[in-house]
Amino acid sequence: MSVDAASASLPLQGMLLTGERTRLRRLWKIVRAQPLGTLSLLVLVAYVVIAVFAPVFATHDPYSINAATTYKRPGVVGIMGTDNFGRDIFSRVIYGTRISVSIGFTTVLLATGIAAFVGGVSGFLGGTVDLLAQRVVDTFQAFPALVLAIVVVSVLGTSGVNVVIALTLSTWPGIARVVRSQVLTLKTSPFIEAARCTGLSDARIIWRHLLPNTLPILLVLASASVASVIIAEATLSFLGLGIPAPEPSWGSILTGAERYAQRAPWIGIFPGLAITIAVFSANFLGDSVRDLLDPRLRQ
Amino acid sequence: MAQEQYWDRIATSRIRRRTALKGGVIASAGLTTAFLAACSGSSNNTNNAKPATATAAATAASVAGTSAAPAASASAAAPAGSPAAKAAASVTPKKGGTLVHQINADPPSLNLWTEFTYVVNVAVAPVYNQLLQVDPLDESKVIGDLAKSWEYTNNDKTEIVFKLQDATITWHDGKPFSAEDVKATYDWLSNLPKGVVSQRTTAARNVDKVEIVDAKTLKFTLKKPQASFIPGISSHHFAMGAKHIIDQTNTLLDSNQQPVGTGPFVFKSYKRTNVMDFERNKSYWRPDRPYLDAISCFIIQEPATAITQFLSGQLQLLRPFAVSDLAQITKGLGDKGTIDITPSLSRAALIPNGTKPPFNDVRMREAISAAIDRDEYNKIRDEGKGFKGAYLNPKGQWGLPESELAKFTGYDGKQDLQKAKQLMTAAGFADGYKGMMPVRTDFEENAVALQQQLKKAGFDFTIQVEKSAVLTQRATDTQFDLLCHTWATPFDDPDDGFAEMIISPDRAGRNWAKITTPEVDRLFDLQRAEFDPAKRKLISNDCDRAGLGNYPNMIVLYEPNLNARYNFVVDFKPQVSQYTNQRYENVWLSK
Amino acid sequence: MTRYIVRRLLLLLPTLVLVTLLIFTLMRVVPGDVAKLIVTGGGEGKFNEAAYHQVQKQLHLDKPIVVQYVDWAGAALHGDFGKSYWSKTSVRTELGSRLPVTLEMALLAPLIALLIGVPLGLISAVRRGTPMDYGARMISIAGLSMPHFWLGIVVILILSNYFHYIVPIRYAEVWQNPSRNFQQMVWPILVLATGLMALLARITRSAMLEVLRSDYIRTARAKGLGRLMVVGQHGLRNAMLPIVTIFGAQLGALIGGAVVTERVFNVPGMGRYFIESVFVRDFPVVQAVMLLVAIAYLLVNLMVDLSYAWLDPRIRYS
Repeated sequence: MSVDAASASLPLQGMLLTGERTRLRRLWKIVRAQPLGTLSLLVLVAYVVIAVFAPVFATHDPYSINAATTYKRPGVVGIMGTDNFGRDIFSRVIYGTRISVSIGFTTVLLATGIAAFVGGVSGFLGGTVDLLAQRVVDTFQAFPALVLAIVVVSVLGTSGVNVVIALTLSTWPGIARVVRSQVLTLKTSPFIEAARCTGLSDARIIWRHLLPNTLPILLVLASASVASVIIAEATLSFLGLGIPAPEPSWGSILTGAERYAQRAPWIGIFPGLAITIAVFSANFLGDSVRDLLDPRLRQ
Repeated sequence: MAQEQYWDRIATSRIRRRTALKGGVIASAGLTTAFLAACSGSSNNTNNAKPATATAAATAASVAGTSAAPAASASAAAPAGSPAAKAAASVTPKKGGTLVHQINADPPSLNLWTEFTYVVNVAVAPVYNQLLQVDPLDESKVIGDLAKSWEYTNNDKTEIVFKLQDATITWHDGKPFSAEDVKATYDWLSNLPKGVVSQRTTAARNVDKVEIVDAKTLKFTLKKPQASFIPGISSHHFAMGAKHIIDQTNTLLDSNQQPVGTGPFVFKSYKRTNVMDFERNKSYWRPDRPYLDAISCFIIQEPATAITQFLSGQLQLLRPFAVSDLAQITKGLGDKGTIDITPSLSRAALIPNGTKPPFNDVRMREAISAAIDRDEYNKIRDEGKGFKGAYLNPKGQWGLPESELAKFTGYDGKQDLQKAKQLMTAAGFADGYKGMMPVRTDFEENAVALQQQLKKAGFDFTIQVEKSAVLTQRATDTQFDLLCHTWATPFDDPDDGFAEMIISPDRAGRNWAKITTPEVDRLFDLQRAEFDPAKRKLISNDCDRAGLGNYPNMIVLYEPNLNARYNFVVDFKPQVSQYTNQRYENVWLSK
Repeated sequence: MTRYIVRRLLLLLPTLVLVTLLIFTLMRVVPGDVAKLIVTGGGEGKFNEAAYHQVQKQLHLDKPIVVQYVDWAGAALHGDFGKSYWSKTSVRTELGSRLPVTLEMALLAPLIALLIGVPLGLISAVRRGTPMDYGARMISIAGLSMPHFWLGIVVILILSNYFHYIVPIRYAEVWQNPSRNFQQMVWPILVLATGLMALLARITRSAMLEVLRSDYIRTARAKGLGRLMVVGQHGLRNAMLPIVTIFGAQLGALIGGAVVTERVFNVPGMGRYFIESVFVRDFPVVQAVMLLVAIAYLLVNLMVDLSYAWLDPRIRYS
């Protein structure tokens, strides 16, 4: 397809077009160029693996309480110690990874999906649809993400699903706005005009040509959003609006730990580290992807 | 007892930190918490005009603390007015200084008549007097406040004559206090204006009429005899209001929503979410009181913040705080301060839904009680400092003896999984039961512990954490399977203890389980009209037993009440009830 | 330009209506009956049917929802946000004492973020690929990687455990006692600034990278202008546009962050009042705060857009 030539400027696609050996060499080049980005990606993959196989990694039942092992130091009981209920913190952080990572990814997937749809359609069709859609986006964006999430969770009640809904509602408008402006720019570019001339339907143009070209920017936004969603989930927990007990999420473990910060700081240190490393990696990955995708920055 | 002596011996028993730890909770209590005065009919307290001195009972108490009998040590306070106490070196209380303490939330308003939360009276009580008060030294006694004495004047015990203090008393706005104010206050409390809610003043609703006999004498006529009436009206929520203000605003607060009273401290300012300030009432009617120049009450929500502020000396009192913080506070305070541990009237409890299966079946309720490990719960949640009990404070005057309590399934403190399973099988739930366990945000951790214990017996409860707004609705609408809650009563009195949750739902304030035990209702009415404390106790114990046997409300544990203060805060003694002794009239700073 | 401004202002109106509708609907579908909560003294007391209906009537909760909405929106138009359901005091007065506190945080935090974030981003961009770049990026991303509440608690613990420093307990307005106010506000403001600081550093970095590679910078370099001159004079000025934009967009995040930092540091501001009101279903307060925040956000972004249009004429005509 001739129009694809335009998108071939995207390095990722360019990579995939070439042969096996070249592909590996290019991959190596990327790794060399973005060592931290690569590391971040590996860390995130590790998180996903831990999340999926949590029962394999966990050494204890993350829920079972034990009066004999309360407030034990790391190393005395379990490698991360125990909490006020005598529960093994390592196992709770492992299971927490499962919950936090799935909340992060689900939310971002949903938000990006909604944003791509609303932003794409609104930008492409323009006119009244655009005007109305943008007012809706404006309305949602007018509230600070956390304020909106607080109110939405209060309305729906505290549960994992409701946290995802609340965070999706507060995440999508920001992404939608960027997608729209990207589509507006692309709409007037020659390759879309060309596609129009060949008589392709609107839906097909959006699906085949516009969206794939917004993918890079979506990737960057999504990785940043995963980071902020993880933080937001922890913050909701702190305010008593997060994942309800006894389910361990990083946020809920951290929140419980606040009460014992002086007495047993390890309860909070490990889930805090888990969050920091995850957010750090997600942000770095986003940065690296952007550097990689911006042709002007490639040497 | 003569009040002369009373004011002479104003001093509190103090347990030094180490004593408190050594002696454990029981030691620290001083817990003869009964309201004997109520039952004894009349008490002729005479007013005193004599300046008081505080005896250094502290010395006596700390000596006692090192003795071998921990249980006895704390309560001592060197028997009031005893030669021993008098012999101890008398310390003249120092005047001046500002007492700085804290509450953990903004009260919705400063109205003691209408607000429910205890933070209102902890903050605002110093502004007011009541007709009667609970003895700051001995929680089991009611003594005079604006009334110097009172007396039942008929055999039915429905007529009470109150004699007011002889001193000239003025309101903070300068107007004189008179019997008219008492009548206006009790007229308002006994017959609330439409739409006004006043949960903490229910005793006043038993008042039929109030007559002014002469300038210093009032006669109250009650609708029904009530043994708990006198202690019932001695809490800070029965703050004396001024007639001229009630006429104007139809409530306790003036038109600026500010409190005006006759009390030892004058309300100065309130900066919401930060601080309330009070200053000394220079023309207070009780001579030489108060000692303090001012009180500042800060609003600090995060416990961790309050603890750091306390340990840094920016707060002088810290209460109540969590058991889990005891170690840190003990260490941080060193020998500069004192920690008092008393039982509280807060009961961690499980409340079953009695309106539908399975918990309309008493066997399933009993199974829950069998499946709870109260001792383990005590270790995990209260570090062993909680108390097993029935519906009335186990360490108080009315509590059921422990040996009696242990006869009921689970109340001996041990988990009995076999019995739980048997009961469940008999009720048709051999394979276990799945249900919802709602809990208010602040009690979430209690639910976590109980959920895990119940799991072992085959009860699989999903915890549903709710903000109080939603939990209230669920509870009143009976939308739950098993509710995890901590419920508290203002006084250690059978009336309060049973009327809260245990008597039948159409009479009880909040029998959320909606379970009726006819025998409980019958015994409740009996004890209510019984003025002989010994007989009343026997009936109360029967009532406790009748209630326990039907398992309408599984008391898991009475939680301890922890208070910390610096040693230079003298003559402050926390009581079991949080609605009494919050006036700081006799408190002074020795630094 | 005038046409553009008028157009933008007109577009603001439907958004505002939608905002009020969203606020109101959210508040009415929230579970937990406030009248019931008030009658039972926050859920700990006894329930009384008659008093319940009386309270409903007092709060106008017995009226149809549409009437309630019109009443509220109409009064809000005149700046009257009603009375708190609980304290019965005017919401306007209550907010009046809290707004300056939050405003102080919301103004100073971005300032600090700007002073740290932009230089950090500049260093990163100019020294791209060097250890300095990585260092600066790590610092900035680390700022994004910790929840505000956790950072706040860590700060308090470090101050008290290692420096034996405790923030003064009695809050002082900045005009009453500037030094005490500074001691109380500096920590929450620093914590609040971390997120924005990190974001600014990243935006500055990428904007600068883009600018530095553009033709006119190359020309400037070729003309022999000094490195510092090029970066400062040409580069930064052109990179300013995205930086300004991010400011507007981040106002919301600041207010959200204030909810948490005010609670951790016991600061008597609007954020703390808001969250407490949400929990006790004090609708007039929640509605007023949400409306004010939304209006502030819309206005700031309008100004950002206008300045953008003023700086870049292409936008006006598109």
